[in-house]
Amino acid sequence: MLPLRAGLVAESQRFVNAMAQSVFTLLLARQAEIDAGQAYVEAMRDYWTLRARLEQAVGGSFQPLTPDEQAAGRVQRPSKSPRKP
Amino acid sequence: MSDTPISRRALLEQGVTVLTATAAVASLVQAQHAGMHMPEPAAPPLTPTQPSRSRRSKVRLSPGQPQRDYTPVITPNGATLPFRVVDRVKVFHLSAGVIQHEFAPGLKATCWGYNGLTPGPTIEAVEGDRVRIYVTNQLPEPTSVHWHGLFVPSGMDGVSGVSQAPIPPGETFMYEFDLDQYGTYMYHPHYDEMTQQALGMMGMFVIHQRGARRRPDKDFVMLSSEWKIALGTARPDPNEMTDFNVLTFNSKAFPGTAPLVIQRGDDVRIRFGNLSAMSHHPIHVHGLAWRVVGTDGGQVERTAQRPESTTLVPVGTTRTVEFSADVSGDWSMHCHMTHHTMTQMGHSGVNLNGVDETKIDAATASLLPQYMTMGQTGMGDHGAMKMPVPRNSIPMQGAPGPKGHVDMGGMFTVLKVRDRVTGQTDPGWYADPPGTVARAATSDELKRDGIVV
Repeated sequence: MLPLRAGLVAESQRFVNAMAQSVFTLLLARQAEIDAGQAYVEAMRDYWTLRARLEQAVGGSFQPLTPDEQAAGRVQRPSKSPRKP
Repeated sequence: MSDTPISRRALLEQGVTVLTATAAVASLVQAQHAGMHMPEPAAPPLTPTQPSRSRRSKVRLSPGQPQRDYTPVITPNGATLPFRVVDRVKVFHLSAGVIQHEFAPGLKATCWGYNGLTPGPTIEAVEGDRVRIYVTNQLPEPTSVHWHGLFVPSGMDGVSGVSQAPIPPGETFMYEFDLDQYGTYMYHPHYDEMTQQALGMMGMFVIHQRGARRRPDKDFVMLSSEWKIALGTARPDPNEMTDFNVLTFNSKAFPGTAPLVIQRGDDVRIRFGNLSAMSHHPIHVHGLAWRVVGTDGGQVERTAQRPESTTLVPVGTTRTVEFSADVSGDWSMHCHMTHHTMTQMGHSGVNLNGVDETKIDAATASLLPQYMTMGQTGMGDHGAMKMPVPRNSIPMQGAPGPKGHVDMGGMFTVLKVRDRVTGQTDPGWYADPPGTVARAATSDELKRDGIVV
């Protein structure tokens, strides 16, 4: 989303250069870009907050299974033996 | 010729040789003029007025040949449709299809046209010719061709659903009729007219007077149209009804328009046509005046030929004008509607004229450091700024000229009148004689004439 919004601001600037759009259209594009940036930051915050809670709930670092563990048929690492990175 | 006892065709029917017939035509025209109220002028006009509709005879005249019977027209930025003669009938072939078209350097679009062109090639014939015109449809939808202004049998009139079945994609139809008139006419689809003309399907149909006593030195064809091509796109929008942004002569916007190259002293004819969707065009010429001698309805009586320097060419009409090019120079010719000499001008922005840009720019600087207010002191210098604009667009770009940036676009071209020219080869910009160019006034001159500034 962020590259798309940044591209729209750049394109909107070209339309303003062409006097085909007004500065208000450009401001709206910039506002949408800032809103998208804020939404990105908030989504990241929510993700890490929930992940921290989940790790706390399973009792340690929450790492995905390695390919070897998957091949061995494991679906979940025992909560008492967290894998060290 | 309705007021003469025998028609020109009847003369030929009696086996008169071509040479004798030509002399007879001239004498008949003389006789007709002698009966008119106006005295014969010293130099007869290029276009004598006469009834242009005579359908008395079924005799087929010898097909008119270029040079021998007429001076071929010039379609700037365009072409003339070739023909072959088969059993004394002129055979033409139009092929409607999807084309790539450049309106001016920097603006191309996918359009519809004839034989790879918009406007389609000019069809040129002579009064009394019989023509057979094949029309091949290579479009993705049906089409038809209406012969605008021509007196043809009802079934040849080209109105889809009324005069004929539409031509399906991939098929070829044949039109055939006599040309019992002369003047400036047009052709265009009469199936889905709105879409097909918005995409460029149109052309001019010129019929020369048979046995004309005088011919012009230069005979130009200029067909106007208008388009909506949104910035950054490459397809004209057929749905547009009011906000057109590309206005064209022969489907070219300045600086894409070719100049009209004229030798000083030439008798010049220009045949204007207008197949814009919604706009009439008052075509203005600088440095000279012309007479309107014909419309798509026929010839204008000499007593009604008033001089004009701006001639309104409404939608769906033609106007034929004639003049003598007496003065060398670069004489602009353009539609006088100011928005029609701007290419891809936006029409929805706020009015910034007179605003204090320092306040706007200060307010936007933190959010938009690259933004700069434009238009507060006018827009004339916009094209010279060379800022990045949406791709495939030429908004208000204009072109460099000999004395600065030319800030016009759209329906703008130049009549280049020179002491000597070579065909339509562009002679470049006019070299003004010394002392004949407007310039900054000196303080001595201001003082001399009591001008206080």
